[in-house]
Amino acid sequence: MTQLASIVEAKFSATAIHVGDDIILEMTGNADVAAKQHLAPLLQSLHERAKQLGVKRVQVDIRKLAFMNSSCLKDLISWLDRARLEPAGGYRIVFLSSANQHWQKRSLHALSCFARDLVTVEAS
Amino acid sequence: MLNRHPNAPAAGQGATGTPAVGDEDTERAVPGPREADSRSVELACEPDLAQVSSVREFVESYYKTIIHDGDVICRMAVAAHELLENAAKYSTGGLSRLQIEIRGGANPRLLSVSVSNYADPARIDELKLAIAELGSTADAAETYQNYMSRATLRKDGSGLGLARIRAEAEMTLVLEFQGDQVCVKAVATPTAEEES
Repeated sequence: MTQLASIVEAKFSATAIHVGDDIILEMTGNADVAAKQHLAPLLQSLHERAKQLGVKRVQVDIRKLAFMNSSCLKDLISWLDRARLEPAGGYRIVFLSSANQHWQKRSLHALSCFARDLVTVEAS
Repeated sequence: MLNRHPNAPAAGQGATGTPAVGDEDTERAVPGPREADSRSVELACEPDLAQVSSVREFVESYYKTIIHDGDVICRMAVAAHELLENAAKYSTGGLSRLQIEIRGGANPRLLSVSVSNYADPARIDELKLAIAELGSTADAAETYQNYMSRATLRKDGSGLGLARIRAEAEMTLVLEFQGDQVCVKAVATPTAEEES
């Protein structure tokens, strides 16, 4: 296991690790203005690392994420847009969500429609 | 479920300047058939992007004590957060006022979230256009996808907040002018049953 990134703010944190064929990005807290400054560069960096490492999946664990604002959603959308332009054989994106966080079902449905062939959503 | 019958009483109003909640049932003098509860929150504050999540968490916590439908609370929270962020970004000063009304007690039938603030006149036309577009669409989800595609091309801002309210929170948007303030109101879309 290799840690790829770690961000700690007062009400937001993100950690990315590389394990086997996967990169796992876990976000917790509130993805709002405090997270915004980090998210776009973090996702750009993970996109590059995913290609370098040849991973099959990037798992995005948001089960402990209380909320994500539309500015941060835009960063996810831009990342999906880049990832879906990769040649066949690129990585897939799996969102791990919580059924108790109702906003996640609605937001992730929209994201999965945006990149239908790229995104999988798992709820627990 | 939300929005089955529209005959709920008018909402209580809190005092501007401090967080306030209204509970009309506790104020009713004469006992009678229990009509739909109306629970309202009104809060006025100077908008600050760093504090929007705290306000959203406050209203979520308040409604969780009286509403058992987590999905309705989520829709309210999305609308409140996005409208408050817009106020924080585009207000020209003074207080912004958040008003939330949920009718129907533990089984909500009507949801309304509005934010009013002094707005930059240069932003008004853009706001009118966005609300007109989102109001005229026959397919909010498809329009939201178009907004997402446009967002990838934007340098500043996402332009997604109102479309998110329309599609994810399934609320209609209304733009009102109150003197020199602008008010954006999000209301849960009535069902055909309600409109009849």
